[in-house]
Amino acid sequence: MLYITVALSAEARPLIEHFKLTRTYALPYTMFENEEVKLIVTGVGIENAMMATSAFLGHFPPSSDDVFFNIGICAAPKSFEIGEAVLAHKITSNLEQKHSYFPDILFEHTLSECELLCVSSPQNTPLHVPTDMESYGVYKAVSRFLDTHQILFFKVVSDHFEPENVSKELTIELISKNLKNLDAIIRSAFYVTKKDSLFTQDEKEDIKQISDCLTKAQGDAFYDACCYYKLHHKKALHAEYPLGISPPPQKSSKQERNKYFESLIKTLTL
Amino acid sequence: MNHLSKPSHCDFFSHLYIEESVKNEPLTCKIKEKFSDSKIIFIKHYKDVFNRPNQDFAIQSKSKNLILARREAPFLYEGSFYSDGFEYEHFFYTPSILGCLYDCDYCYLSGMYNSANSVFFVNTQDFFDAVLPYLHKPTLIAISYDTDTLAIESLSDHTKEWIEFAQKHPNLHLEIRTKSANFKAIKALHVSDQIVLAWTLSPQKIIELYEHKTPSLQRRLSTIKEAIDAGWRVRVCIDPVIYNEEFHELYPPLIEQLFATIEADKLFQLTLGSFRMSSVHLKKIKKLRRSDIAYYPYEVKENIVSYGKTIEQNILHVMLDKAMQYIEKERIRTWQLQ
Repeated sequence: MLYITVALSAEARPLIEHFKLTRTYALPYTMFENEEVKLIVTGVGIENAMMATSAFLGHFPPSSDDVFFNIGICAAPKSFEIGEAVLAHKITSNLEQKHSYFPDILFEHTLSECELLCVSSPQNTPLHVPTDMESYGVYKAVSRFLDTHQILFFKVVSDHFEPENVSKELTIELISKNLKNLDAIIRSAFYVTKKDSLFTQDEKEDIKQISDCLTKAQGDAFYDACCYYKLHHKKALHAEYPLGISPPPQKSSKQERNKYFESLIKTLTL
Repeated sequence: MNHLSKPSHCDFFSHLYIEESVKNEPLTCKIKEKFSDSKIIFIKHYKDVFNRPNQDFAIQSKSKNLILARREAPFLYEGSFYSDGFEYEHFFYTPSILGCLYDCDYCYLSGMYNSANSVFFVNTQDFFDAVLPYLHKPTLIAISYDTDTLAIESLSDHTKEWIEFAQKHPNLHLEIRTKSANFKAIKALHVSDQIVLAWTLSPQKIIELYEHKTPSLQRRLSTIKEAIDAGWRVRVCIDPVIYNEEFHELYPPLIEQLFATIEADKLFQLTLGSFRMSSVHLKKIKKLRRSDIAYYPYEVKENIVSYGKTIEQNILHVMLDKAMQYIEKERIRTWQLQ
């Protein structure tokens, strides 16, 4: 699943069209989704972003295969061109000086990377790094749910600290023009995040069925032994004893269960 | 805008995290120059990056990054229970680099650190100063404990600096444990009996399965021969032995291959030991879900996991018998829990 937060409806519009998202009313926020993408409009500012992001991920808990993007416009020094897309590798705040956040960007890409300073209001005075108003709150909320390499900040430069020049139409245009860049980054983020599942669904069900007949400690040891077997032999658990066979009868004695457990472990880890 | 045709992981050290306090240190500037294409990210403290919660060690291992920092005291730690102190009254290890370029499935580092990145402390002189008070007695310092210094030598001449420092202080003895084939980095230095270069060897099949990004057995053997021929004290460590159904086919032939490559008389010591680890570290390694080593049904005794007495003794018996065909027992060190 791809999770997206944006601050403004204008930032959301090109994404809604691009990903063919439909409106959903699961949360008290403007939210859109399809089978692979969920998008929420958080509103402007750190607090709004943090609250909406917490609600979003709390309601739809992400997994270790998922990727989160905060997408939007930002102001930037003149060394960045208007319309340029950047990825943030450091998030700082002018309110909370003490702590910075560091998303891991572990894939090759062609965009510029930068520090992103999160401020409390639109800036008229030039600052030394790109600046937005949500990233710090977003990271703070997302970091409760996802690993550092699953959290990405994709920003498009809208102005050189001249907020009066930024219109709804310009915002839509800038995001629209960077959809190809965004697609490439999303593809790479999923590539890095992807983990092959150790067990098939059938294997998971068999493991559960047998574990249910064992004590908690035995079940844990049995699961470890299954992991050992899969990683060591690199073949399906079904190919050999023991997961094709029936688990011990429910009413077996403690002795019988222990004996069955020992034979399972021995077979899997020989 | 050009797009990459196929997604790929970043190269090693694509990002350099640099503490503000060391950004102008000569060593920092030298490393920055070496990695001029890397993205520089300034940080306040190395722990802000290295100790972040929710880092994925396995994924980071494919794209390790480097953190340059200043170490605060302590600069020395007492040698670990899990390793041999060679009867030195003063036995320390120095955490001058944290994290390793290599990626071995059985390494405790993946169970100890949140991050697969490496931290390089550029204030080397502070480590040297911390050693001085102990040098009224023979002192052993393991400089390659939480890393493989020789593997990272091209960054900084770190091993070279330690060797040169030791050569000025006769009571200072160093153990430099490595899997690296980068002997050329220290080849030109004066040979010293105070320094033991300790190579870890494993059968080639074990290297391929578990010791990712490390030099092959053949390269390590050639390097060991080169170091011995140059007059260095070399300890070979077949430690940890990883036990599986092919143990008898893999490990005794490794000893044969070792002594077919080097003259047994010229080997300083041979260390033999089977896999063991703190149960806390193993628990964390299990979460990476990438190697069968983490899931073997080990015996746990006093928070140490091991193969258990029977298998451990069998390993040592087989290995000792084979090794003693070539060298006398006095030059063989063994590690056994029971």
